[in-house]
Amino acid sequence: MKRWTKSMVSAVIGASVFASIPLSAFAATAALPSAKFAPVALEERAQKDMKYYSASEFSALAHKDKILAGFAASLVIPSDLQVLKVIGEEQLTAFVQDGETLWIGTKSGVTRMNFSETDTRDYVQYLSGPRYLYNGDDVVTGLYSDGSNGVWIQNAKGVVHLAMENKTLKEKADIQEDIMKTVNDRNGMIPDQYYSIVNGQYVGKPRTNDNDGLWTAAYAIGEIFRYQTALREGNEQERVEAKAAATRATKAVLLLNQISGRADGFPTRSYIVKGQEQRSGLWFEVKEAGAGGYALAVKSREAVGDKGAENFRITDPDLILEAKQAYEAMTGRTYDVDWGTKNYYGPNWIYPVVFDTKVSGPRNVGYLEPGVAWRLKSDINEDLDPMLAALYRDMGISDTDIIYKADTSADEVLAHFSLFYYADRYLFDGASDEDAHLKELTVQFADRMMNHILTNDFRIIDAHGNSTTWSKWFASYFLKDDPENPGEFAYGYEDGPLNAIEIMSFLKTTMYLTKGKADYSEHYAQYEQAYNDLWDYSYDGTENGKGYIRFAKEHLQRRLDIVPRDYMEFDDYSSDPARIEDIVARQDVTLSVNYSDEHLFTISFMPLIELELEEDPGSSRVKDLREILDQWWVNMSRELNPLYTFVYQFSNQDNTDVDLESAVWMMYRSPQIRIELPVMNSTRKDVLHLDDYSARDEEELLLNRVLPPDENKIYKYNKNPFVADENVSNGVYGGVNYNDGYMSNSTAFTLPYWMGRYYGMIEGE
Amino acid sequence: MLRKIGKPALVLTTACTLLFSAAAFAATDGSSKHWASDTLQEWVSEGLLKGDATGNLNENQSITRAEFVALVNRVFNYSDTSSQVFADVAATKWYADEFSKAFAAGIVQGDASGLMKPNASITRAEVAVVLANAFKLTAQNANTYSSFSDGQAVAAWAQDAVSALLEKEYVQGRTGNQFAPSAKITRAEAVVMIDNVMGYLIHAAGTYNRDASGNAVLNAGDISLNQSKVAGNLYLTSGIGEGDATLKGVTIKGNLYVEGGGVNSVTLDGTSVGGQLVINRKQAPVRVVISGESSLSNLVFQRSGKLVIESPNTVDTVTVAPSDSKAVITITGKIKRLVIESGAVVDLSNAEIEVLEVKGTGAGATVTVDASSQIGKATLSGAASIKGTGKVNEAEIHASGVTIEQSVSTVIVKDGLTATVNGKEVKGTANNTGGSTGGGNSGTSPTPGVTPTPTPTATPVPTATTEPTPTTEPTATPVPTPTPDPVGSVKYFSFTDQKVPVKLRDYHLVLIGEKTLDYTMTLQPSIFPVSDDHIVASVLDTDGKVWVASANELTRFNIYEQDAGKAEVFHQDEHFKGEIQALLVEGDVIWVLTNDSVSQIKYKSSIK
Repeated sequence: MKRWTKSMVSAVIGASVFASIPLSAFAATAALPSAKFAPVALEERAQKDMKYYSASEFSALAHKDKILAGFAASLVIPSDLQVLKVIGEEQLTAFVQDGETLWIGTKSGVTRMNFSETDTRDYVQYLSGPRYLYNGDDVVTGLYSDGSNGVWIQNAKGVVHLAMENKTLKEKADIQEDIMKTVNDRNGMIPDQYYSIVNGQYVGKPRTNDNDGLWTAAYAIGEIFRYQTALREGNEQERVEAKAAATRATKAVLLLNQISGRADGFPTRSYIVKGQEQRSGLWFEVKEAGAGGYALAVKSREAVGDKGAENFRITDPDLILEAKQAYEAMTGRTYDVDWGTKNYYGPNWIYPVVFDTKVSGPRNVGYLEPGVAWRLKSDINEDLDPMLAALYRDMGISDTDIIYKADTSADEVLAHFSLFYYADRYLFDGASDEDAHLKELTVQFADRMMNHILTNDFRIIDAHGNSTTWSKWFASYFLKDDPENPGEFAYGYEDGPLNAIEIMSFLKTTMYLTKGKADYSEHYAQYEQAYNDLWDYSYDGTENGKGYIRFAKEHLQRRLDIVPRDYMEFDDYSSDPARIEDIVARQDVTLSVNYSDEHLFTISFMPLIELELEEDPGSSRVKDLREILDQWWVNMSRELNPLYTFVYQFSNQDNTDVDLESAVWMMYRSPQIRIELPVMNSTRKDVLHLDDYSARDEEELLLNRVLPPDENKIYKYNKNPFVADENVSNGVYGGVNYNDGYMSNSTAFTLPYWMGRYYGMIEGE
Repeated sequence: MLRKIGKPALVLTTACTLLFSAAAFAATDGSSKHWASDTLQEWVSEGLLKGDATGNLNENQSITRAEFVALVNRVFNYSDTSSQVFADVAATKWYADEFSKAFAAGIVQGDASGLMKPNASITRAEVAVVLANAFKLTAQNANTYSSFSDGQAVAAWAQDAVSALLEKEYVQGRTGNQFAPSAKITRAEAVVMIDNVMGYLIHAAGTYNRDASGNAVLNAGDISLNQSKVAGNLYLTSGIGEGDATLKGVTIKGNLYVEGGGVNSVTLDGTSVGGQLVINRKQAPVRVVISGESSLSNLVFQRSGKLVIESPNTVDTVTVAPSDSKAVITITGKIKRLVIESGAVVDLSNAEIEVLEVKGTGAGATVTVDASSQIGKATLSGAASIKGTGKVNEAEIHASGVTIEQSVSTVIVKDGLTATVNGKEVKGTANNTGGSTGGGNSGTSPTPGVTPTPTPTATPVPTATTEPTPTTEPTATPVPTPTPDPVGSVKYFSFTDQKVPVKLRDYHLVLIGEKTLDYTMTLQPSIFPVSDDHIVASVLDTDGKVWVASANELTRFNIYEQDAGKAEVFHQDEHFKGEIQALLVEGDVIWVLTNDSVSQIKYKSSIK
């Protein structure tokens, strides 16, 4: 495995600094000493590790003859084994037995049976699709036991060696840490990432991601739990590595808070370096770096006024005049005449980039584009913090190579706030200059963003002066009756319960971070007042921040409310409204769940419940938060998701009925390597198909139970795990290239693993 | 051939003209006449068969599953659709509606994975199953299929259908007497096959007089069939909708299936049915009126409906057996024997029932006897209720939990059981429980000699607290200590019995279309992701053994076992009744859900 080399310099510095820091107060202290739940003892379990061989690659193997002989032998299927009659002659193609493990090859993949497994759920395991059969040809043509609990699987397209080696979950976490560093890390950011396999090693192909902040923060929080676990257990090497990883990722998120130079609390989604692929949206390139400098909008489809550009309209008369004059000066023609025929033209607005209509060319690589007459300017008001900017400067990248995305979303903002909390409280706990400085930056950035939201009518404002599309927490946004579109839900009605928890968490977190600090005392008082307002008022949609607790408790109701609207979009339902009525009548909230929202809710809820529990575990606020969590738990509990389970247990520490065992089973069965590959579970016979589609997708068949993760698609908890198929069309798997693909971020495994260990919900490694 | 598809006399001439004018289709595959061209032409002229864009019938091309289902749908003129979703049937496809109707009609189910494979060529075995389902054909001898030289190649799921079609000579073997179950069939073969089973089809309103040497199908409303003989079955399909159907002076040798018709009504006037009259209309209750010199021995309600018998001595036995416990059956008239086999609601209005029998599977049924109705003798083997003010002369109770609102002249309660009659609890004893519950008597009083009890010796008045056996130990425990059920014991339950695990009760409702399969249904149908098509369910028990069910057989074995003789086999009618649909293990018992009832098999000693 190729090791992480990008930040060797900072890692070495980090290690020398961390070696000298004192152990924090958390060391050797049980995280939840009065909790009543019993931990689950971890043990080694067999983990699946696949190697893929095309026919030609396999033929080059030195020991192929032995394997081929095994394949041939497997075609002689014993007639006396009862269970094979169940599979049936029509299906059976190959068979091999290795002790108590039966490998059964069929026309539909491999069924592995071993009734001596610890968990009965592992007795029968299903291996199908390109994850286990070469290129997804599910017709098995040969099986050969490798004698070490694994098997060689042959089909017409090639061979897969499935090794099954006993490993601890800690070893799995370590594997994923390595991959995150090798493949996913882009200047400290850890989103999903493209990869290639070069000379047998994974190599990352860094690319911007609209949720760079969210996934990096989620990863970082997991690393912080890892750090605290190592600290408590006195594992020095683990502690040093965890602190380095957590710090690097946290720095990356802090940098997203500063890289625009606006110094007003605006967190960018992402940034790229000139020459890297720029994706859709509004981007600014840094022209003059540092305080007093500026950045200019970059040409993109949205920036020039095309589909999706509505939010980027600039209505400032001075800027409109300036832009139109620049257009005339460059082209000799009138802007309104030239642009008047365009779809998105309006006489009273312009877009961030104004360019000559006579100049054609691609629209999404705009910073090199000719024909640009005027670009929106964003002032840079502060110097970048060197400790943060080192993430790219150390790679030889200069400040003026940076192009940042001038957009954000609540997804990003909530993850930043949660990370601010965990980093300040549990990571930057040393006496080193770095810890002290980063802790100061954390508080400063949290305060700036919180203040930005409160002073901008509960929104985040972009350089064009408008609200960003997805960062809105103002009161009327959540109304059932939209004042601007009577009879319709306000745009944020559906999101209201989530966004309410978000803003509560932001305020509570920022209160924690700024409390008792003289520089922030005035702001702290404002935050405290705003936080109390969320709880103490009724909600009528007219006053920002007042009484949001009321609709935070309407999660289930609002999910049901949107059912008629959403399902009328589907032909099968609009032509048969009784089906919609049936969903509402039986109150099936699960169909309209947004699975991404569950993840976002959890990340936001974590610091909020911790702080309220600390303040008074018997308070009415804790009671309210538990009631809210219970509403989300209606669907979450079906998923056996370790993160949600641990957060639910943390929130209900006296509850001894939480299914920690299933959460741990899900982690045992979580793939070691999180490569995204097509999966087809719609044809298996051990599941039932729900009668209804999800409100979010008419085409996706839903299963009645969650499958083990190594038989399901790769998902980071932001996808519906009950959807049967992934990247399958008309019963055919999508294309597969084992040497080139998409590697999911590890947070779905590493965050709950380390959280569970830290809180004592799981014991051992 | 042309005579087979019937039209009323007025339009027949026009139809003939159309048939001839449609002859342009005949030579589409060449200049020589196709062996099936007569039948094909007839189907084309009747709108049952369409050519491609150029009018070509492609007679010799294989027919897909979707196309075949569409043909059958047209014959029956199905209109009901299902909300069932099939992964490979996109809503936008032309065949989505066809599969929806076919599924609602119960003629296709999709494969075990819920796939319809619409564009796959249909095989002969699949054709057999669809036709058997559509025409409700069952084999007299389940092994008839084996007379084909390749009978062993017929999959279990198709054996009954193939046998049924062969017995009726609707199918023939190919070269070497091979059925060739996996072989494709051509479009021409498909049409002829359906045509053979269908017999004649009447699909327009009017009055007809036509004999059928085989079956006959009426698929539209307001049809009268007069003075005709049908040698096979007669199908009044759901295509009749709310319209009327009148059979006057018709003799039906086989069964009469009523799946359509409204409240005014399906009328049998002077009509005899040699087989069963099966009432099974899904959309809404149908009203069936029997009048004149009609005769039929056996009528079965499979769904809600009304039966009005206007002439006496015409119906011997009426069986109430809907799978939906909410079904409502209303009966007016005189019948000899009313048998209730499921937990339905039965209203008797101006009815006279000589004998009412409630089977064990009829637990949960409610029979309301209005003031104008009466029951001679009621024998209740399931926990049903009899309500109303109509008279019940005699009741023989063989199940606990029976409730009879009205007073009953003579009541016999089986030993050890308890019933409520006329508001009073009545307990059976080892001796005799014959008694009257009228007039506000408290409990039962002995009336020796009135009832055929096996032990007519006088006994004390049975009370709730005494031990009735004349033991010498008066301190015996008044309430018998429950003894654990022995391993291997079987208990039967109705679908609605609260003792049945809710997962199975709900799954039953899903299977009969009374409940949406939603997230609350967490039943795992099988532990095997891949299995033979004849496997309908499997489950793991607490001994680590697997139970595997086909529709008609249940086995339990260790997966490593190589000796077939060591597998435990549990047989239909001995351990379960009907066809298995699901299994569920609960501790030391396994529950078996079938299309008939639910059974519970104790497979190991009680877990302490």
